Amino acid sequence: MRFLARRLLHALFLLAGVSILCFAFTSLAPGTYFDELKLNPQVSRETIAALQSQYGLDKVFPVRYLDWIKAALGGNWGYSLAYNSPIRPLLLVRAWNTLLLTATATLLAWMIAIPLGIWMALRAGGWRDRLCTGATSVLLAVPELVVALLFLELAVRTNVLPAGGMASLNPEHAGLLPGLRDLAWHLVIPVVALTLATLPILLRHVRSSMREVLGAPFIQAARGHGVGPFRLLFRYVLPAGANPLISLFGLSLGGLLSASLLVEVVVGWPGLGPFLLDAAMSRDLYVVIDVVMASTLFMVMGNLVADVLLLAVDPRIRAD
Amino acid sequence: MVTSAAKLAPKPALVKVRALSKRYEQRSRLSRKRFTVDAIRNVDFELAPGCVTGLVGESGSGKSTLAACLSLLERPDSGEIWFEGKNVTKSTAAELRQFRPRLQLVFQDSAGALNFRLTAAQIIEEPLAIRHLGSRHARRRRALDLMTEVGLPADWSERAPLQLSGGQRQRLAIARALACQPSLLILDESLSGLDLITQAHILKLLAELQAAHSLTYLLISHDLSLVARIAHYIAIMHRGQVVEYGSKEQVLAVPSHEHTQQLISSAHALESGLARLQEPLP
Repeated sequence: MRFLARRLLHALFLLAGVSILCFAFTSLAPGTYFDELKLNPQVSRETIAALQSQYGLDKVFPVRYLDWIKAALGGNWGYSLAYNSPIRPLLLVRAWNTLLLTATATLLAWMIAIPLGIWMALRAGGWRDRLCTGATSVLLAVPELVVALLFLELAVRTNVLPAGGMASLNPEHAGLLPGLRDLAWHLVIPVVALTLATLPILLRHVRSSMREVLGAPFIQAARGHGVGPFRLLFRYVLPAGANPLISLFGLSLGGLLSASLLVEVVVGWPGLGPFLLDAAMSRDLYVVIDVVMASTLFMVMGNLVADVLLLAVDPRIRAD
Repeated sequence: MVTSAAKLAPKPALVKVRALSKRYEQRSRLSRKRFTVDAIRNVDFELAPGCVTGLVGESGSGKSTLAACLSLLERPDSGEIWFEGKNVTKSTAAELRQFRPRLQLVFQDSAGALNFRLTAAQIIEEPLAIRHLGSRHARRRRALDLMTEVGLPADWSERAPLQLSGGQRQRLAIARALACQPSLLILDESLSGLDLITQAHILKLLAELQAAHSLTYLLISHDLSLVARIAHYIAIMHRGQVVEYGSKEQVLAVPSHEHTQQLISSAHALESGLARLQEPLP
């Protein structure tokens, strides 16, 4: 319990620190949402001053920060100037879309990385392992944007996959099942791009952690006692090699809201990526802050989940 | 304490090793050029049943590779291993399952050699569980008996290996090895890294267990003085080869190989140095 309390406290400090930095950076950024209005001769200075006062933008940084904190803790995440609407419903819809994309890609990447990484570790040094390691090096060197663009190009040329968006406008996709099929079809390009971007890192971690464990003396000892390959893998190798993978899994969870921002922009996925980009371009201050804070909250939660899992599975940490 | 090899009744060897060789292929880090390392070359020796054979050599001489080959954790490239009258060199997986319980390894790094996720009792039960020997209750009782036999309190059964000291972990590793009722225990530097008192306690325990279970030991060490304390036979390894093999008396009194002579003189120099340190200051 003390461990958890310490981690929670650490998480709270981290969130507070990030929120202050985020507020400071957005305040330091040149320009405000109303700068374009200032160029409009039909809008008077008084009107702009009144608007700034209405949204609290005329207050000094610490006051604005405290107001935002108070409101956020009360469930009010601020107001979008660009959308002229409370941020919360806007953000929740987009966060859900992002989660749908990233959770699918992350799940797929882990489902490939674990068996493939173990297989590579068991064949370490062989030509199959070298081939896979070479392929991961190539994938690591190619940005996910390039992969997404390549698939979009392919989609446009072949018409097999939808080139962007989240749903077709075609009325034949109305209804639950056709709608789901259409959604799955739209997911293919961004999910493949994200999976290919995540896979090499996961694969390398799984491979190296399994390799390390396979060479450990207790694995040799277990083999010497006649422990069969399946029991060896599931009772010895996987649990012992799990620690770095659990930490990595925490990072994967943490990155669910932030890992796909660029790909979303490229493929036109209506998630947090385009939302954040538009907000940054139009200086919609509170949207930027809320998206960053939501991503940070996920990152902190992901790490917390990883810590709890490590505590649950590793007796050495419990002993410490 | 130790019976002389000459006084032991001649029996057929428990293990016979003939022309055993193992080489590893490696790559140069810079040029990526392949090259081979002969870890052991044409090794011949025998292990007499009920005896302690010491295998001595400096680091990198091939002792651990020989232990891994003997237990078939590594397949030798050539040569033969005869165990209890059977050629086990090319054993199938099913044959290995029969053979492995009869030969057990106790490693140097007791912290690394025990699965840190299991409790002390679970570690001892594991070899029994994989062979489906006895009920869960019987396996637990056997584990507790073995813990007591090696000098670990039975109420430590739920302790994790990392909650035990180095010597206690080594006792646990020995208990686990005994669970399989082996005829041969390979102690691969099992006493290295332990303080002298713990070493002496473990040596005493090994002697008691040998008497109780008619065990044969292959004691691998770089410490000739330690081996000389309990071994009946001594084999000296140098650059992957057994350069000298014979009864302890013969090897220590009339060493024929230059490397053995060097080892003996180094051991003497160390002992006389220690003796001088123990003299009272003027």
